[in-house]
Amino acid sequence: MNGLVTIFRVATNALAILAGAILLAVAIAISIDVTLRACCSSAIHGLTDMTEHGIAAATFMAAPWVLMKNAHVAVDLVTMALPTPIRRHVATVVNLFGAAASAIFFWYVLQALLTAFGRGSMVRGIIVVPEWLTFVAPSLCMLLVAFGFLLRIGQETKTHEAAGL
Amino acid sequence: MDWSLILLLMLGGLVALLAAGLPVAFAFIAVNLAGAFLILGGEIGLVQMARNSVQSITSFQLTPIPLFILMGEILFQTRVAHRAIDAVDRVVTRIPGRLSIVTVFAGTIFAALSGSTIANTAMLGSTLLPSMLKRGYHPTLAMGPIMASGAIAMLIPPSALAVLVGSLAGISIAGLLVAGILPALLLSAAFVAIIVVSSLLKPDLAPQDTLPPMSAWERWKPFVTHVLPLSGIFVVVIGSLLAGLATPTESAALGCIAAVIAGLGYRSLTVKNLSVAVMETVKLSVMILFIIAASQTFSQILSFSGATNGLISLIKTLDLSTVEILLGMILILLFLGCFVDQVSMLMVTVPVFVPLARAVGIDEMVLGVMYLLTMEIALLTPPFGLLLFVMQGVAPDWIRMRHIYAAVTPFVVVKLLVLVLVLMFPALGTWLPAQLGR
Repeated sequence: MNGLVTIFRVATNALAILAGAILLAVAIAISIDVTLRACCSSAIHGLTDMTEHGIAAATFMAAPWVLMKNAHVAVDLVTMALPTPIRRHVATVVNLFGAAASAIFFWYVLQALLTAFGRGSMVRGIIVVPEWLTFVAPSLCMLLVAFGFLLRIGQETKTHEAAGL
Repeated sequence: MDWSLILLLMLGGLVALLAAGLPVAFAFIAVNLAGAFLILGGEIGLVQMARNSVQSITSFQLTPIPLFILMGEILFQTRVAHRAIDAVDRVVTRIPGRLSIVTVFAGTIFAALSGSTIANTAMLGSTLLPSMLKRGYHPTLAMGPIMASGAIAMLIPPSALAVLVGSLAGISIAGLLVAGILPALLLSAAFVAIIVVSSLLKPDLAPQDTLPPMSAWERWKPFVTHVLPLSGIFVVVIGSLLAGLATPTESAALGCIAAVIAGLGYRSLTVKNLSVAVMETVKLSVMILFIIAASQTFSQILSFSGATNGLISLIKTLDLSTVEILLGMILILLFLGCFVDQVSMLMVTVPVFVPLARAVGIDEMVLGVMYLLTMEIALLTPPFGLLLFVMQGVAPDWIRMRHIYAAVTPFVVVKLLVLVLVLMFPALGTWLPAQLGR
């Protein structure tokens, strides 16, 4: 079990770092694109499409890491007012519920992936991408999120840091 | 199934799961799984929900959100913004409540560099609150301006939330980014007025606070070296938007590069603080974008079940004027803001408010500015406004929540007055966007 947890933590961290690299690459590529357009009347082919797919993939990739950082926005006003033993029980139920919802969602993202793969459907923009490819990161990461919720069971719940914009 | 029952079940389920402490995104997923199965046709609906969630964030329109956050984080982590505060501190002199006014100016400047109200409040609080309290400023006059001007980041571009409102509500993002500038400047001017009047009426709120004697160049040099160059970033971001040279995404990317250049110029950019900035950006951006991905089907279920149209028809039968409808929306947003974050507020209300506004002929830019101003106020409304807790987090232990409530109240009143002004004179929000690309 410990080995599995270690693999999970390494995987979530690696995916989060990859998500960060994607965001950084997007910022650099768009700036280059604007510069090219202004000075050379040229542009990076398909950058808009690559950016769209990159941001979507990065969002799902880092979701398990954000969950393990306890940084997904949650409203803990009610639970924090509960006595500690009851709060622990509620947290266990909530984590089980989160795991179940994520697992079901994973299953249907996987169905979307398999359907797209079976049909050979494509996302057609300036560049053409096989549709099933766009579901790879979401399906993998929803599975990791479900596992992450299970790992949270039994851990002491902390007050969330202020999260938002 | 009757639309009112569906609405009740969807909203009731969401509230119950949120109250139990399930993160917002997963509460939306759970409610949407049930809603999609019942309303959108069983398993087909669930597969469609999966497709929707991926498609909802595969959008170029949302790209400025992580980029604006990255830009602010780079300036925050390299402490470039902190130097700007010290520079502003030197040039504001001979005015009652001096440090409180420095707070307002610094908050407004940093708001033009960062789209995060939390980062803005935390930075002002950690930098200026200790020195204000040490010099004998009353906690109310020390903390009120910090929270009030920290929240301005939501209005002044680059505002990630303006991008989100524009994207979700189908309002011009470039327009909405600049629409907040005039109301924000009006707010800053009103905050300065409150501070000066309060300090004059109650001198014990703010001690006589003068800087040691120094030459004009000594006073202005830090401003020239640490503030004026930063205005270049604002010019890059807003200038390119106003001139129609760049889209919001492009101006955000250029802003990131300008922030990196600023960090390099001040020799404060390191691989370590750049990587911290990137990972903080990942955390904040994913938190927001994942809620969008998770909640996208919510509006479709409400629409498909007839709940959206049913509710709009019901409101239309009440024969309310547009101002009354806007006031109703404001009250609902202020109520929601006491309990949930801004992104969740948007995801719950946009599916109803936007079609309703279109049905009764409310100008979309007025609606957008109303959203931003109201959400900004909601960040500060007791008992649970988000920034009140940020303030508590950076304040010394002896500061109680009642001090924070007392500090913020006059500024919330001012913000409400400015909101009324914008409703009475919509040009305050619509004039600048109308100048875009002219």
